[in-house]
Amino acid sequence: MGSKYWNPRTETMPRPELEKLQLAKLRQLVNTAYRNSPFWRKKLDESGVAPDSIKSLEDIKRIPYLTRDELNQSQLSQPLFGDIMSINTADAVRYHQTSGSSGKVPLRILDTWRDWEWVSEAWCYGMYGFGVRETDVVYLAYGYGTFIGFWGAHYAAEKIGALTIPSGGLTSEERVQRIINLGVTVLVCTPTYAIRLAQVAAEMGIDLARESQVRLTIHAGEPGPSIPATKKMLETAWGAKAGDFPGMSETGGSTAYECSEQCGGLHIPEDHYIQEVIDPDTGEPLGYGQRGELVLTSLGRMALPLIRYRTGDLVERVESSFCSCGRTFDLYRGGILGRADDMKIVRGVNIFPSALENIIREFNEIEEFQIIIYKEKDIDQVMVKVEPKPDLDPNTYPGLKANIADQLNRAHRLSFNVRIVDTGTLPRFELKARRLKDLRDQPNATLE
Amino acid sequence: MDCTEKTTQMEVKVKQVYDLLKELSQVEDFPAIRYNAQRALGTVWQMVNHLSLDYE
Repeated sequence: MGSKYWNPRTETMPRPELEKLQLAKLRQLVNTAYRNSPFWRKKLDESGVAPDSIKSLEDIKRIPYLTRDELNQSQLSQPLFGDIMSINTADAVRYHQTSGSSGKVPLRILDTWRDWEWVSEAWCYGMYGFGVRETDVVYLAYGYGTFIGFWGAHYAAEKIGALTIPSGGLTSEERVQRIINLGVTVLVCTPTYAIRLAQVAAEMGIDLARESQVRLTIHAGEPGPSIPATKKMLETAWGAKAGDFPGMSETGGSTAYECSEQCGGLHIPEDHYIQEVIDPDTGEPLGYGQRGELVLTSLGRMALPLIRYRTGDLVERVESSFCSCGRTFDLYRGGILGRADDMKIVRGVNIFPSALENIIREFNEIEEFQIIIYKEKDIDQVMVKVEPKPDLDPNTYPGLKANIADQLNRAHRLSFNVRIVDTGTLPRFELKARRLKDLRDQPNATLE
Repeated sequence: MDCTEKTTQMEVKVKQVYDLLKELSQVEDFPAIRYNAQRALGTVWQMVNHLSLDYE
């Protein structure tokens, strides 16, 4: 099989032709949404945007943004699915809901058969582009529940022709054994869980980098492989290339993907999405190289029309020439850089969990960590709890603590309180990690 | 047109789709076409399983 692109036609399409394709699909999407979704008909009417007035890509800017609150309100006011769907429930073949890990009300989502095929197709761009082939053995380590998670990746792996192995309902130890025994070459899970599996393997006396045949690890659900120190940690632990494939339940499919060149950016599948970057405070469009909020329009999924959806993800868009792979799709340098709502302000300093992770993961001595923001005598403080690897000499703890604090302090010009905790103290996660706790509105909360 | 003739005409069309998909499933340099065609081939085979078409 000669091509390194899943879809050589669109992935190398000259930009003028790509934009013509995007416009044709956008017009179809707006027409479908207006005709079949009461929510969208109302929203477009109120903003004076008639579907046939969309004549150029610039016209998308006349459509107001869509927010998560609006989606939730639609479903709360008209359970179960709200008035935003463009289909009847009878036309759906698939139900999913968001994980609820961010503390928000879960969103319920339906897909038609065509939408569901599209979800796996979007994953194929990334998995095939990263190197998955029909000779691979793909192992998906996650729960296979109503959270959309890696369902799309599962069907994409099957579509590529790889032997695809689900692993719901197994313990981490069982998964490690099967990864070895079944000759798994591709692991699919959150980056947090890949780290966890590596830790469990080490406890079992197994060196995955030497003893498994895993050559690629595919991750989504949280920033991980796009954080350089975390990527290095994953690749060292598994002896494999680690790739980042962000997505969200609202879109179904991958929204960006890392190709085998691993240039430090993620390609945007621009034949399936129109993606904009805006200033999160003013809503004004931003250009290449400017960090801002990702706004998504999905051109593939019709049951839940998603037009100018404010994702809350922070990105920095760069031109296609950033990668040498030959794709004409633009990229996000550094992947998803964080979430606008994950950012915390401590004594006037912006703190992003992903930035802290990048520093802490540089220390190979660390097994797990937790960040706690709290008030002490009415002043905001940050504590970082770190759990050293079990075999680390305790005599090295003071130096380790001082080094971590020094690195964090220098990077943020803020004083961090670093505390070494006992092995096994900190929570472990199978899906997305929640390592930051903000206790500033809980003055009586314990820091233990 | 009686029922039998309608059924036969429908089967002829499905067989045409099957043969076309078989050809597309061998395409070398366009994975999206090759692998989606293979998947579709599996589905189309089910439509006329009573013809016991060879499943390559």
